[in-house]
Amino acid sequence: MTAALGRLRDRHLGAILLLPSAVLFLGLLAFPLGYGIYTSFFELHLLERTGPFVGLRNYVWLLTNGEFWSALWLSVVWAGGTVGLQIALGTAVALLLHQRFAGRTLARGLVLFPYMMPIVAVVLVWMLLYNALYGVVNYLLLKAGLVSQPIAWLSQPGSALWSVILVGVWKYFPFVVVVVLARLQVIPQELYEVARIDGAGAWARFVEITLPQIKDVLLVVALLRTIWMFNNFEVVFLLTGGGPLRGTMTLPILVYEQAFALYEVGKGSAIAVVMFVLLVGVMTLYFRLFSSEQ
Amino acid sequence: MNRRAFVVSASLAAAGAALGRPGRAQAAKTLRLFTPEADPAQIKMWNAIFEDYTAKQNKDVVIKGEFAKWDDITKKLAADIAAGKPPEIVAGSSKPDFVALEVKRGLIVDLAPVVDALGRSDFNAAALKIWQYRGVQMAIPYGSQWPVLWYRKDLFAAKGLKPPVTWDDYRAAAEKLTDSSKGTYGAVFSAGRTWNTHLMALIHIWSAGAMLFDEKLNVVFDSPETRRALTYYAEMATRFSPPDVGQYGFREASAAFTSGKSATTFYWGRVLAHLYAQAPQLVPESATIHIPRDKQFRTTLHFDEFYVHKTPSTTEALDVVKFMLQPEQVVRLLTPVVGHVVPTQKSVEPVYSRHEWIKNNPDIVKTLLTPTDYAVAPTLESPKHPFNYKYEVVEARNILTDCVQKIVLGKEPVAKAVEWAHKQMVEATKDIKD
Repeated sequence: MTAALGRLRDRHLGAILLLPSAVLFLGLLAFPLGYGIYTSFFELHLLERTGPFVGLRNYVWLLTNGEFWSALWLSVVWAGGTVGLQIALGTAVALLLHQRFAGRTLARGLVLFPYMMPIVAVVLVWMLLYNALYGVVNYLLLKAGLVSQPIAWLSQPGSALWSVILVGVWKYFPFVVVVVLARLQVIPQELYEVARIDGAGAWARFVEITLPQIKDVLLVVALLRTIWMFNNFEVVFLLTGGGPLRGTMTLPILVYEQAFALYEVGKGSAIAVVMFVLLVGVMTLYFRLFSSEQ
Repeated sequence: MNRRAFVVSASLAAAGAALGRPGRAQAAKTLRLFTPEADPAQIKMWNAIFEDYTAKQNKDVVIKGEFAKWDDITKKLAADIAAGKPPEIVAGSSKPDFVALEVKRGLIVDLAPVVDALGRSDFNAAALKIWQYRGVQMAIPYGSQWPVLWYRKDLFAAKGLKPPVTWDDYRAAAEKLTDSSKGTYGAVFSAGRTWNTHLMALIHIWSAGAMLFDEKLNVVFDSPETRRALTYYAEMATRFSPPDVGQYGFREASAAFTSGKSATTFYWGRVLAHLYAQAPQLVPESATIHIPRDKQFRTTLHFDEFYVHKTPSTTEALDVVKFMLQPEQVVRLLTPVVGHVVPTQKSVEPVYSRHEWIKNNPDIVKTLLTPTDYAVAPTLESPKHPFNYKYEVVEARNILTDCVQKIVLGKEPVAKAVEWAHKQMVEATKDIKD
């Protein structure tokens, strides 16, 4: 009897100890997510916070709305472009920093600077660099004779998206450097020594040894960075606000505009839910591929 | 002590600490005042006035300023309202269209009794009228303002140019003043997705004789006059304005002039304070005139205001507003950007006009401070129009700025872009009821 009571008390104690975590999870993750999905079924005006139930009408609206598809495409280009270039640049820099050279420790510290800088400072610096009249980018291009007139990088539909992508790459590539560098440092050196004895050159050693060794890390980095960049709001919004001509209107900015500029919370929520579903889809695909390879 | 005993003891101790917390003396009540009037000198002055209120008027009330960009104000206010925590006081939003949305939802306090308490006859009646909707005095204006054309007298004289009166004059002058190889431009026609672009395009549309809405509030945007206005606007933006006008809002339009990049710019009186702060050598070289016209002179008319949200601190907020609207406080409020707004209280004008910037710069302040009969409030496009409760959605959706961007940046034919914008306006306003 006493033992049974003790077991029951243990069970209760366990539940009580788990309660704070469960409350935190429900309060910080499950409730906002559930509430976001719930509001997407209503025609909700931001100033009133009430409105009629409209079922799937908000989803029908967005699926038939050209702005949504344009924003989805721009989000894919933004996330794909930034993640691809971050991985390429981050891996190249990690390989460089893995070599022995004077000042390597300093260089490893300095390369983290973009990642540590506040985003507002990053945006201000890049806006100055891109400035059509006083910017260094135009100065160098004019000096080199590559352009005859300064280019308004952030205010022309053709150049704005790629200019913003470049900032995204610069800001976040150090994350890739850190992760890949950590992985490079635990690759057994014997593998490279054997390859050298077999006459493998630098490229062959990279393709046959380094790449397979860092592949898993790169996949994790690609997944994480894709989620983060797909949801990234601040870089694009601060640089262009979604313009010019909606040429950088990614999905997070469209959600913001719909909910806070047009006060249509239901429609904004519907877009956010679709973003969530898309990312869950990407994660599921990733884990399936990853587990089948394992 | 075993683990179970530790957990139980710790929980009891925490609960005891929480329940047995000694009572504290009643803290001062904090009121939030939200405003986009936020030049550094203005922020300093706001804070000084807040401190004076607490020190001299009510020690139990502390006022905290919240400052925002012009293009963000309605988004931030809407988010605060949605969160159930609107700022108790809003100052200088100049957005009667947005405040009307709040009136519809019963969110703000009718300030008519405050106007009466302060002395209704002291206020400009037209200014009070702009802030009346559904019989509610939704805000009390403390200053009126309209944009003008700032120009550099020295650069005009060097080219033998006279200040422009018509669009043709201005186009000819801008052409002579533009030298893109030196990075100097004759004009600043904003094309950013900003409120500034919206207002500047609107002024030119009105000047050509067009309107957004007729007197029954039907959309009448697509007209030969609108097309003519936007054709001119696009030409000035692409040929004679800096190459990055596709991102310009208020601050960039002012900075283009104060930095010497542009020989002219459209702006309100705030440029005078910016010149004194950033380029005092340009003050004697600068002057203002009315924005060049097509068929008629037109400019926009806005009124900086105070309004109060219904909150548990409404009584205290009303007292703060009464304090702020005392003539000496209004003068302090306007001083950091002298010339930017014209006081709406007769009791303020004499003190304000004695300011040395006003006395020393007649070429600049005359156009800024002498009321015009052709300044138009966007929510009252003519004396025959009723308060336009549909206008807000056109501005919030950036329909006019998107139209300008399509023409200036996207090189779309004017007729096509105007037709698109007209349809957007009709669609956006069709279900809006008074």
